[in-house]
Amino acid sequence: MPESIIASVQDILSAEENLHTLYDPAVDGPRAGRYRSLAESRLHPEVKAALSSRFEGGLYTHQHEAIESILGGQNTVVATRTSSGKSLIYSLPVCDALCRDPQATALFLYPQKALANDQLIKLRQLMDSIEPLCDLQNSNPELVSRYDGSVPSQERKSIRENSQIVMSNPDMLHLGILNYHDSNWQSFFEHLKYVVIDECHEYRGIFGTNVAYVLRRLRQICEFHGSSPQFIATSATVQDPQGHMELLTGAPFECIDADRDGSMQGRRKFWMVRGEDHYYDTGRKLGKKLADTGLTSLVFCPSRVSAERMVSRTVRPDELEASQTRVYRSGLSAQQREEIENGLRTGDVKLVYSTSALELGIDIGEIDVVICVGLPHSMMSFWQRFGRAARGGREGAAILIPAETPIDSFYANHPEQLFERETEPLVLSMHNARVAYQHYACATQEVGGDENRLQTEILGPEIQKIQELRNEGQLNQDIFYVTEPHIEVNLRSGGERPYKLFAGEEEIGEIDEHHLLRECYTNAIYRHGGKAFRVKNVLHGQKKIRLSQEFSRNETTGLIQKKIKLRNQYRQADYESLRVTTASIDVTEYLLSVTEKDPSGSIVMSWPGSGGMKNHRLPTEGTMLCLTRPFWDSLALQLGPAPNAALSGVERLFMSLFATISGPCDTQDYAAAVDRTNKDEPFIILYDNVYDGVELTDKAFDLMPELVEKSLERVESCQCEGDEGCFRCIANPRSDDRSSKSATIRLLQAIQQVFNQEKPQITDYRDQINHYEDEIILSCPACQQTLKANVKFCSECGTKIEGTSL
Amino acid sequence: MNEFNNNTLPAIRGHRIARMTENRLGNFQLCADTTSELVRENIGVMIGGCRDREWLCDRFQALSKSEQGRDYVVILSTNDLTRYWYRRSEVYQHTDDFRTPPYWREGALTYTTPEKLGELSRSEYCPRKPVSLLIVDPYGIMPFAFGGGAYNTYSRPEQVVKFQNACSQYGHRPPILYFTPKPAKSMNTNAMLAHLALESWWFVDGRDVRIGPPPKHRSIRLTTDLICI
Repeated sequence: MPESIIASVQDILSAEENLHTLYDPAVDGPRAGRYRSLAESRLHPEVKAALSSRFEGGLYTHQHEAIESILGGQNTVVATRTSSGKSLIYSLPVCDALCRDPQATALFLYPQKALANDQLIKLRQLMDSIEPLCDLQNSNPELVSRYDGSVPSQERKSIRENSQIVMSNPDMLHLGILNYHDSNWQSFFEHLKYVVIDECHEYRGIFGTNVAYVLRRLRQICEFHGSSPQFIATSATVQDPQGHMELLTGAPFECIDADRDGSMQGRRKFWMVRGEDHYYDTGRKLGKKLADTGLTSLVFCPSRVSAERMVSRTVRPDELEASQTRVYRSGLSAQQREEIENGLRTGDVKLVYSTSALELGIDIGEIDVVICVGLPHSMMSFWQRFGRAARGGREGAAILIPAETPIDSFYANHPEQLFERETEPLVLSMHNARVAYQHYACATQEVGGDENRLQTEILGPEIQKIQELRNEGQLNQDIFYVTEPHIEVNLRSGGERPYKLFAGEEEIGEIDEHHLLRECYTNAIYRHGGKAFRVKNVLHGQKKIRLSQEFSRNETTGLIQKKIKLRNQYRQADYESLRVTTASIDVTEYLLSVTEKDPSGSIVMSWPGSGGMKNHRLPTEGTMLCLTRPFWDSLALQLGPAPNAALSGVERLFMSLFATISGPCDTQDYAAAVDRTNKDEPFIILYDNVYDGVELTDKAFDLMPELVEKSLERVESCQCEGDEGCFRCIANPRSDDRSSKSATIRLLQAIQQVFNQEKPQITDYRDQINHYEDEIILSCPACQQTLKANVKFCSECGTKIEGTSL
Repeated sequence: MNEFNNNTLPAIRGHRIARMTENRLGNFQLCADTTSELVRENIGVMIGGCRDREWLCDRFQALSKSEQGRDYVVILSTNDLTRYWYRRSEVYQHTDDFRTPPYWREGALTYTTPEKLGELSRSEYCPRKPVSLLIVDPYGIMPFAFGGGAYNTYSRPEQVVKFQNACSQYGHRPPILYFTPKPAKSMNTNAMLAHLALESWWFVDGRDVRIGPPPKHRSIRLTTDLICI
């Protein structure tokens, strides 16, 4: 082991002739910890006695303050940096509560099962060191237990009866706990003292919206059983933690933020480097070189496919088991993931190519170097990833290799701006009508099926609004009448349940519907755990994918096209030559063809058509820039032979640079598309990449002129030669379409001119739209049922509606 | 001229209601015009909230003895129900074979199960122009029993739709009348529509539905509008 990790990494980077350092700031830290004596704490004496040997100097100041806030009865959120002892903050009050009341219960919610497993071991160890709790644990081995989908069903009954500290996830809380609160969990809810929400920044977007409703339902159930639990939340990287938690739970919160962080930090060093190879290869080779020198290295890859490709190029598949290299991503089995985590702890694994799956606070031992291949999608990910190194006061190094995209190039040229960038606000939209309907149905069933028993003051104004509309007989969606509404809800995606992957008879993992069209389409070569498989069949009815082992080194690419359908307009800015509109839309993605290429890039085979793959439909919201026909006609003449290439170039720039003008946002949460199929008026659209939208790209409505200006600056300042541009400006690596730098510049200049010279006429349609039933237009002449547009028959009485054609 | 106009009396009569509120919307009778409208607009009739199977069995036996000279096909959704119905039938009373047959005929009514509709449609005993298909489903689940088996042999709603199509080749697609003791408001009737390939439901109150010939003492005024099956 080298004496100084930073010095070793510095030596390796200096020795590499092909690497150019773009940014080399000074070493950060070390920082001494600030402590408060345990004697000042209100914790139970037995807990303090157990801690005194481990924490002689006392607890960190932020830990002390947070614990005091919790013991004072406040809902508390702690948002200090990574490795600052946050798990102790929520563990100690729970131990304290058990010492004072042996019947007390607590619920720990983690966004990933792996996190729960990690914390289970730590909490049991902590409780063993506290005498009364050690006795309690000896008399009841299931005192602290996991209760999630991976717990065998034969063990669940015993856990339900005996466990007082349950570690679970929101999915299980929704499906397996709240649903059976009166039959299996009565005693647990009666004595519930604390609800712990770890890594609370994970609850954002559609997942966050679902979890917000689940937590409100949890509060309703607790009220029903006569308990009133306190919430404790933690996160390393979150903007406005207090506001986020208040929105997530609907309850007031006290916040311990990063300014009050008193933790000790080791020395940390950051570099931004660029190689002469492709950035994947640069990251892969650098990771291998560092691991060869004995440094434990974690390489974060931009996607699951890239992680698999990197490992397959580093180690031959038949040597993978014996090597110290692994790939870690979602979709691997729990056993495979635990083996890798243990390998990192024991030092058997030295190099891991990972996706964002290892970002969260799983204890994976001492990581020396983190390499980030490509800028992560959000600043939250950025700090989470670099927080994997330099934990527990040790030294650590972090290297960022920017990708060849406009946004990465922007920050490569202005690295200081990257570090000034704030973490993203967490987007939650409680107005998502579909989600609200689903949770209304679940909440109703949980209170015995009587809608009038719903605690609308806890469940929120959205649920209250739905209840009012239901009482008026206006809402009659199917979800209100299904026998088991809980099964209909998918918290993670708002979509359907995932597909299972089968290699022969063996189930090797699963994949969700969103990834299916990109990775696992018919005839695709799909890489899983370092091995390659060919997709033989996709059985949509059974949600199964049949794979066979593949030994070629070829790669397949699916060409995906999008269709955009406008549903409702919200706001419109009318210029003479163009329009900017925010609207609700339907985005339909479909597979156009599949191409297989050998390692040299030559096409080996291609399959036209979708190969039986289903289209993927995403109802969402977006902002579109629409060019009017006369304007586009006159422009097309100036753009020469490549008017469509100009539109594609603008789309790529908008997609990449939106994050730089909108303020911080997660680039995975939005997408862009261009519609050239509309012969009258082509448009470029930015839309939210989550079901029913989260009002993110809505910001582009006001910021469109700024976005055009930034795009023009990026493409004009790019130093690439030739008209086709490069990946850092307008060329799209996922598309074979022609690109034209000059045409893109001309189009952007023309749009900029319109924005500078014309004043828009703004129309707001939002007041006319009812979020909960935006298509009500008429009522049935026979039964007066309120009906949606374009129905042929009344759903209540079957009367044919006049004026509609059959 | 509708070919069923030679019938004399409405065999199935009741009140049309709204699904949720159960407010009455008017009378329903399975006359020639109604049948035409149901077929033309592809509408099914859901008679929810019927009394128990014993009552239904009695009423259907009365219907089978009606002198209208028209055929109905009764689809019994479960094996238990089929066994019960068969044992109460006259066929059972006069046979040595106690096994429930795949289909049997009793007067104007041909009884079968959804799974055996295919077999029935190929047999010589199949009524070529049934007035309607009467589905009896005590649990209100038959339209959801789809999938399974090679070529969807066990997809019950699909078998019903296939049988309807098979009848169409003789010039008449029989409408569906769905009898169930569950009130319509307690069922996901919209989802049922898609499974039975229907456009809409008419809801008839099962609590006061009348099946079979009307009592002889009541005089029925025959008009051109009310020439019934």
